[in-house]
Amino acid sequence: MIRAMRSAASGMLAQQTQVDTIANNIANVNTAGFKRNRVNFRSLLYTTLREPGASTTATQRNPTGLQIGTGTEVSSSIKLHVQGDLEPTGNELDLAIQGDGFFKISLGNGEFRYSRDGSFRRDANGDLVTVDGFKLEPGITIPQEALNLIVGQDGTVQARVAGSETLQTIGQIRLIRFANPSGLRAEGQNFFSVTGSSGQPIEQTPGLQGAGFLRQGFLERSNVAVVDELINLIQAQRNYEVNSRTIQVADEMLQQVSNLI
Amino acid sequence: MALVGLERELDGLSTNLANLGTVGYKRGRSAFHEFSVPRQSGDVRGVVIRTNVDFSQGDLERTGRDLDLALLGEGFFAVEGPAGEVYTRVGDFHLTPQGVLVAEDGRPVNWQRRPVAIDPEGERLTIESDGTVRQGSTELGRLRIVDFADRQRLTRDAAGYWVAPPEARQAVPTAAVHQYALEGSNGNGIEEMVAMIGVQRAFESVARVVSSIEESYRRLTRPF
Repeated sequence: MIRAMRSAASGMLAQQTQVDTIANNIANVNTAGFKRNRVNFRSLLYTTLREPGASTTATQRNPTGLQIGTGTEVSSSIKLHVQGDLEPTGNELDLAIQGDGFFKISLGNGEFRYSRDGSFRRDANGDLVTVDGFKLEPGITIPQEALNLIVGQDGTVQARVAGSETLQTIGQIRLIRFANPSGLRAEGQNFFSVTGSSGQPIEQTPGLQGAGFLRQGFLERSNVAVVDELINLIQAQRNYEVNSRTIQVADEMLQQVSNLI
Repeated sequence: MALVGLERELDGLSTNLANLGTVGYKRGRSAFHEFSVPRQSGDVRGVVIRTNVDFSQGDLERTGRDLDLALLGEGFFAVEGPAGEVYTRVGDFHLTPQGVLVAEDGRPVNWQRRPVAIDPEGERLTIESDGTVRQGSTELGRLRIVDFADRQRLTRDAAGYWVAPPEARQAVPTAAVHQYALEGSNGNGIEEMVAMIGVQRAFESVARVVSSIEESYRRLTRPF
């Protein structure tokens, strides 16, 4: 009975983690470039009370045994790097990645972060920076006299300069891919950092060797689908409920035992 | 004896309920068997509980992740454990920076044949329903999917993988691989709840029998 209670408690804890994750996903439904989280559960250690396949007589074996599990546990949480919807914004400094890849962002202290959030700004020097002022790497510096900026699908950045007919090429945006993007560490501010399991960053030209294309004037929305999250939330709530009911049943059975005395 | 059996049945049900959200979980079922032991004073009867595993299909849930694989039909993915090959229905795989396809806890996934290695810097993998893995237009090989003639002999190890006894006979797997999906638990909240009510009531009846036996003993020994 105590085992049943512990199993049910582990189920309730797992569902609580699930609700926490769903809440975070829903809260980020409007965060550009946000990737939804998923928690994975696995069943806990099994107690073998009778071995399946053990001999019962010299010639016969148990066809089935008695293995009782001890509940569930949260085994991992991963970011689902699935494409989010592209939303047209009309802003020429908004870039979205359609396909695989990340923008490389320099923190200015020799460290780099990776992000799918392509809402860039222009700082006082004309450098392309994130909302928080971190520079895109390799850097793109927009000339002061530039009228507008054209970013190609392959990442070439050109500027139209006043008094000139031809476009001036001012740089090339590169995308970074990882062997295992789920292994990246989420750092907040829409940033990811490299870990031992993500693999080393692989710099690529957009559109080539599996890297995604760039779309100027678009932002990648969060890949959270509210309907899916709400369904998961209802499921989590019901699962929590049935697990709490198990504890109640076990409690009532224990009460009956104590009434015997 | 029946009380202990019912308690174990509740343990099994509670594990099923706790794992309603566990990918690839197969619910346990318990069944009571009656036995009798002949004694000089007459047969002693009792019940013993056995558990087996319900290997029926769980619902496929679309996740959209490229390395989420679900099996529809009978069979298991083969994964290399420290003590030999183990089996699982949980297909949330990952690619290491070295280009090795691994299970969630880092154990390498076994292949039926793999003439070409995965290029970790290459394009995303596509997996066909027979387990054939492609990267772009290159065919890399086929994942190993196995099934067993007598699946009730499989045991679960500490990490939740299925372990086959050495004498287990293999069968031809019928499972089709579905990419971008995971198989949910095959447990069903309603069914387990109904069974739990049954257990509770049965426990109550047995407890009442015990107390009425006790009552009759008490009457026997009561001083006149």
